[in-house]
Amino acid sequence: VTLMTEPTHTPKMVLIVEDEEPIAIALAMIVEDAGFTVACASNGRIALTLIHQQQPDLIFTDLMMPQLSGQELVAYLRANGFTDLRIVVMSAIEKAHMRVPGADALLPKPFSLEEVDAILREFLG
Amino acid sequence: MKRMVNVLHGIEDRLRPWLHAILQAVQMRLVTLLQWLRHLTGRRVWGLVTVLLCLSAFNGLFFASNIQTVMDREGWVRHTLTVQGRIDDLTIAITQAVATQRAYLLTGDTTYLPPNATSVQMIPADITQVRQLTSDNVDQQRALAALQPLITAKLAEVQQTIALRQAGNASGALQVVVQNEALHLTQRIQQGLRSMRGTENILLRQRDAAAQSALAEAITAFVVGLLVLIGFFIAAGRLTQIYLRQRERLAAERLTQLEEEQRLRQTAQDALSQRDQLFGIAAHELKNPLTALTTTAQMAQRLLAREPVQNPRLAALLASQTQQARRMSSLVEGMLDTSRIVNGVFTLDKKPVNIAELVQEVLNEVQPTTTIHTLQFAKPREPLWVQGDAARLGQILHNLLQNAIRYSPDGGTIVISLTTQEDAVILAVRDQGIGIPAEALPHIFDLAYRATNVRRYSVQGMGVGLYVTQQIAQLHGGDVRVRSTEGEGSEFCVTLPCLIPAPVANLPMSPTTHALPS
Repeated sequence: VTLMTEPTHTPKMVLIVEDEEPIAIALAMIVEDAGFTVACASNGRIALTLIHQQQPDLIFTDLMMPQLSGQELVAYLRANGFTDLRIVVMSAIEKAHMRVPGADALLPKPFSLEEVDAILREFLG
Repeated sequence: MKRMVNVLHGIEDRLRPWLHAILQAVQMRLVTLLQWLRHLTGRRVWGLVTVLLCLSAFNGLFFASNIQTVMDREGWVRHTLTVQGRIDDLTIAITQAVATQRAYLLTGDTTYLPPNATSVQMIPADITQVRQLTSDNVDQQRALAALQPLITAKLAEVQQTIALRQAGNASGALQVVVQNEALHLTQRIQQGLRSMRGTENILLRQRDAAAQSALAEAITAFVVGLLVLIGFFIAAGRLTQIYLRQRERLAAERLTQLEEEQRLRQTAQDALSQRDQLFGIAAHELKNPLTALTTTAQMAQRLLAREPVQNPRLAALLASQTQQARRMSSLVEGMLDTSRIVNGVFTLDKKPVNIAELVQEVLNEVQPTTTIHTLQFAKPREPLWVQGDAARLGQILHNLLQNAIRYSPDGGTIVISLTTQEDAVILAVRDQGIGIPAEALPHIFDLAYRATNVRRYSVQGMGVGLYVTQQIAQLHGGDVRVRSTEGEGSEFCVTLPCLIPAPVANLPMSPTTHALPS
């Protein structure tokens, strides 16, 4: 009976990799409100552990972080078989200067709710 | 002349060490003087050379004239000596004539006769010579004139007695000789000749003294002139030294000044670049809190809207917060753009852009932000291509539209037009707002400039929008121009080079190009 009550399709999972806590909280709230499961990591190393454990569908990652930077994280993931994982790179750097090979989208800061909505719609549908 | 040379030799011996020292000093001064001359301008050089030449020439001429005087006076001395010689000759001739007469009369020896005849013959010639030589001397002429009859008488006596003796009348001849008159005559002749010689002696002493004093004067004048010249050389050398030292000091001062200026400039540049960097970093660091602020405010709005009971006051507060966060974001972007432009790191990602499409997109974004303004735009049917950075070109229009909205506080129509002119695209934004005061027009594209009338309408801003707009247009090879009348509105025209010139006939926004022929 218990097996029957479990949902047949698990909600998609989003991982937020951001060392700025207020941004991580706001973003988590938006994503959760849109109906997705959320996990947060404050640096690239924690993010890697979580990715291996929980297999997220979408990652929002900051570029400049302690331990493992955004570029390094994206490079590692793309090199290690995470080809279906959608990666959105957030940064305070000017969009024209963000060169992140392997990223699916670039989200320059400061971004708005509408921009996050658009990304979620596009990648998780 | 020989005396003078001797005198000069004596002087030279005494002066030699001095002359040596002076010559050395002059030589040294001459070297510094030449150094100085090289630094002087032509006028000064010729002035100095002229002064030196004049001094030297004057000294030389003066010396020559003095030497002439000395030689003249020596000539007079020689003349006096000659006169004395002739007087002596005359005296000797007379004495010899008398002596040989006596000897012949006493001895009868005829060998005395030829010398006697010679002496007697010489006497008139000697007298003539003395007369000629003393022709300028009245006293001597008079004395000679007084002597001449006595000598003639004496010679007559000599010839008479010798003739008597030759005729054999020896005693008669001796009688004539021992006569008181004859003895007296000889004495008077000798006295007269001594007197004449004495006169010449006095003259000789006078003339010799005059010659000596002239020589002394000449030497003194020459030495004084030389000393003046040397003094001039020394003064010129001293002046040169002072001048050169002054130049050196000035050069050193200038160098120090230059170094100080460079140091100050460097400090100022460092401070400026530090400020610009800090400016950029600060703006950059504001982006994180702004992200959190924007998204949380928006999320709060969304959640509030879902509440069953409406809370308009809270909704208004959150709306204001969202709006302010957006405004702050645009200010930060302006600061960053300014910082990038000032630091020369403002880069463009240039691609062919259909400016007509871009304008439409921007208008679609901006129109919903205002309810009291109408954005009017007739999009050209043909695409208009521009080589540029789409985001930056959009930013130009964004800025101009924002200004048009901001400076038209009462609302109204904002007309956006897109036309071509030769190989340029002209994007114009015309509003009916407060306009720009005439005195502010030349400055509105300056960084951090704000027109004087904006405060009256309490419109806020940093004064970077138009600066950035102009810079972006210029980086695209274009330009932004403004036309405005205070109280009637403004028109900003952005000119950009057209990538593919479009046919003018197809542009509905430029009806003037189709003026009908009258």
